[in-house]
Amino acid sequence: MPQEIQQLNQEHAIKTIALAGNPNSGKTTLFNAFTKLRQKVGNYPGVTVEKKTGTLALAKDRIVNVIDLPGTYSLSVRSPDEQIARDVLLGRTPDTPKPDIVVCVVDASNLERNLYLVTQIQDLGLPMIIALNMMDEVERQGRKIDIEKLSKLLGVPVVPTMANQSKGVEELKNLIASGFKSDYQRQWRMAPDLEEEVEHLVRLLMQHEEMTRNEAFVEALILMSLGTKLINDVKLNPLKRFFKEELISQIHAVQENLRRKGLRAKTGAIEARYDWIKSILKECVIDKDKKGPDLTERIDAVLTHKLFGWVFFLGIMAFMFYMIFTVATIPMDWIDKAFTQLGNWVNSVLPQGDVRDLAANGIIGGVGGVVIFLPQILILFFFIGLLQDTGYMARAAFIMDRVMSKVGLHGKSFIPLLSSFACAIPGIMSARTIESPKDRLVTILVAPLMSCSARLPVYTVMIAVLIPLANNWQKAGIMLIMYFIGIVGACGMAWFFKTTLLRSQKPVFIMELPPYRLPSWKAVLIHMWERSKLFLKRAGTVILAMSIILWALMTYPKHPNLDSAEGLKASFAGQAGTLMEPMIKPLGYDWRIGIGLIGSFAAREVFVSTMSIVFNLQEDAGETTLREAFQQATWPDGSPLFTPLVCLSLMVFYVFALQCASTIAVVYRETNSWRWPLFQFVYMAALAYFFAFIVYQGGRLFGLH
Amino acid sequence: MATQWWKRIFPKHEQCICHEKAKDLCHAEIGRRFRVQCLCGEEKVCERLREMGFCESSIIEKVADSGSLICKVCGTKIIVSKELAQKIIVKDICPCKDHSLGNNIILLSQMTVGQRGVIHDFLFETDGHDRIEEMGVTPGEIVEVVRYAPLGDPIEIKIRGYLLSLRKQEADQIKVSLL
Ligand SMILES: Nc1nc2c(ncn2[C@@H]2O[C@H](COP(=O)(O)OP(=O)(O)OP(=O)(O)O)[C@@H](O)[C@H]2O)c(=O)[nH]1
Ligand SMILES: [Mg+2]
Repeated sequence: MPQEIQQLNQEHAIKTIALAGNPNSGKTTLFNAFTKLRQKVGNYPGVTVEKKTGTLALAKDRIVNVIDLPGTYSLSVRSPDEQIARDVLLGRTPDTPKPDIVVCVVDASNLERNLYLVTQIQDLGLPMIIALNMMDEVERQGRKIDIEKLSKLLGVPVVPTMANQSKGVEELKNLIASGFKSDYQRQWRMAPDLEEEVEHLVRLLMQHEEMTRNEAFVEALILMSLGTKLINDVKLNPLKRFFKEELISQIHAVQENLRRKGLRAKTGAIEARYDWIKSILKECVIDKDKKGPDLTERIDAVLTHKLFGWVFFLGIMAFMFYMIFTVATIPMDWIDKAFTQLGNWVNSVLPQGDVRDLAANGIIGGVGGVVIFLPQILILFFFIGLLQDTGYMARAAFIMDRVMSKVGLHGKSFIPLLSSFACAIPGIMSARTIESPKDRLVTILVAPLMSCSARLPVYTVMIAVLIPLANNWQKAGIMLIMYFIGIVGACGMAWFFKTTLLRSQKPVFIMELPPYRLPSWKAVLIHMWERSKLFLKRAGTVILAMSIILWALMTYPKHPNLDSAEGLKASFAGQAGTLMEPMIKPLGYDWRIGIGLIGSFAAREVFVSTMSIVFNLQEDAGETTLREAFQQATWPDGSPLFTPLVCLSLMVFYVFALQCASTIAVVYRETNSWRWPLFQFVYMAALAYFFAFIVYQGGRLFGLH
Repeated sequence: MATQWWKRIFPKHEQCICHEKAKDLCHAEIGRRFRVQCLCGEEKVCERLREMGFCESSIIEKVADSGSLICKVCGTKIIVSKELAQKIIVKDICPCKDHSLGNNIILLSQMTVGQRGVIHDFLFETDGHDRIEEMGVTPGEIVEVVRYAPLGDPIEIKIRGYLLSLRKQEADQIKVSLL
């Protein structure tokens, strides 16, 4: 026997392994253990929304590809991310070969529902191994699973694993390397009439399309469940296939037959599968006596409470911002000092002239002005990582569902929005888990309104100028308000879009709540590390380039006979700013802020770096901090430029404006047209202008300044 | 006769007859366990619900309710929006073990006209219930007694939206939990 298996294995040398399974079952954790990569892991369904590929060395000279797939509850897809998983499993993705083995990652603490997908993948006829993950939780729940029996009854090898501790991973690898035999025979049966029709369709498909029996069976089930007639258009029909005319008419005949008999193929198959699973579980899962409500229950009693849920949600946000203003200041001072010293050193070694100016003011001033904020951004990511890893994200979605349903979306849309606090790009990507295309588009359109980490430097600087003497709680409070303006804006615009442009039915909302898990500190740290790498990379590329460009625009053409302030005004950037001034004057901004605004259309942080270059160039005494420079800046008539009202208006402007080239690129990719990113850019710019105007002019009406 | 009935047993768009009396999940009490009686929404929506474990006759627990609900199904918690919950028709499960299907289980033949219940299981010793099941009388379905023939045999029942007559001998073998 073993020889036979060996042969079997060598004939079909394994090249590609796909990891499939329910959302949040631990696929990516296993993928990371296999490939030593660091794909994002989180304790909520829908973390992975793309297929990711890595390599695994089975033996010294046997390297295979491993594909991590988005999680899916079933092969009948509803959302774009599930579509990706199904297409790969069916071998319908152009750039990915059909997997040779499927490792189905199954959450052992939730076997019944997870095995449903297993029965569907079994139908595909691919060799399969079940990785019975989360065995530690099963133990904690006080249950026992008879693995041998389970394997025998399912007809596929089952390997118990604990992916987060890398337990069972070796065994899994060995099994793949040594080969295995799967002798699966479909054992669940539908009603006899239904079986008859399926069989009929299977024969038809095998005859006309030269499919294998397995393929034909899967397609037959899909065909039968289509209520409407099959359209012979590759784009429109869900099988992405072109059928011969004579086959189409026969398929229609079967569908008609089903309709006449009133047989519902889908329901029949679902129930048959679940019945079979239940009968298996009855035999191989031993439930011990249940203890009282477990920890998750108790925590949830508070965190999903109508009132306390909100209190906690607001509390955790306020605490996060408080930490951003307290803990982060110390390392920020260090970075600031380091850059000042670097600037002094450059000033002392380089000869006076443009090169020194570029290095000291342009590069060190510009990039340093942004890098200072690294500690704050790290803290933000630390908290977001915690929220994602403990399982709180799904609870936040539940709490926010009441608000979201008022504006016509549902709680699931809140997860992309919450991710957008870190950065709009992963947020927009995670909108793939939303089933309805229109709701997905609305979510994508409003996601950049959530204040992302790039706005943090702008807010911090403005808050410092606004109330220099405020304590940290006050600063955190203002920050919280800015974030809330973003949330309210996002909800308001979502409501607007849902009632006008993208009107559609209120979507149904169904989402899994994962159990709370202790965050894995490693994962949180990796998350922070990856993010800070990205941030520094941005500082080293986009922001550096923008700083140099802006420095050049602010320095040339040179006017040796003017003093530095007037020289700046006469430079290219100064001229552009002056040109803009009439437009932005109603918002309370002068031409210098105008330069910052232009610069920040590449990336928001550039505002801070631009402003530091502006004031570095202006004040020849380089000893003042950015905040002091802001406070000393005046209009030509001597009145202060950065009045509290201007600070507020600027912050509001940054809440609403879409000043991020990468976001526009991602929206283009996700919506497949330039229409939506352009529309988004325009509407957000209009909003930003409108609200900044309201804040400034409204404030002046009330006699503020 | 059975085969003729069979063709009409599963109607295309089944009218949900249980809607009025059995409660939907929205109106169920928090913290109790229920058995799903039927799903009466769009086919597509119901399919997803079934795939997530809200099958007919499966047991669910309502955990929290604030607009949307949290239910426990197959050991996991799932958020279900209000609109969806209105389509899930459930029936209480008595917490004591003996009556896991509800307190009042009687035989179909003991029901009075107009009473409604859910098929619990069969008492047939042989394979006799195959035929009955083929007619659509399956556990989890809702039946209503429409009338008794003058001599008390046969009994006319309404099931899956259709009328069906059963002999008393058969009705004696079917356990029903009253709604
Ligand atoms: N207790 C326990 N937790 C685990 C185990 N494996 C993974 N986890 C945790 O389960 C959560 C989900 O893991 P992921 O790998 O992100 O799940 P996924 O299947 O990729 O999820 P999606 O990408 O959303 O489909 C994470 O919080 C992991 O730390 C395990 O064996 N035991
Ligand atoms: Mg994943």
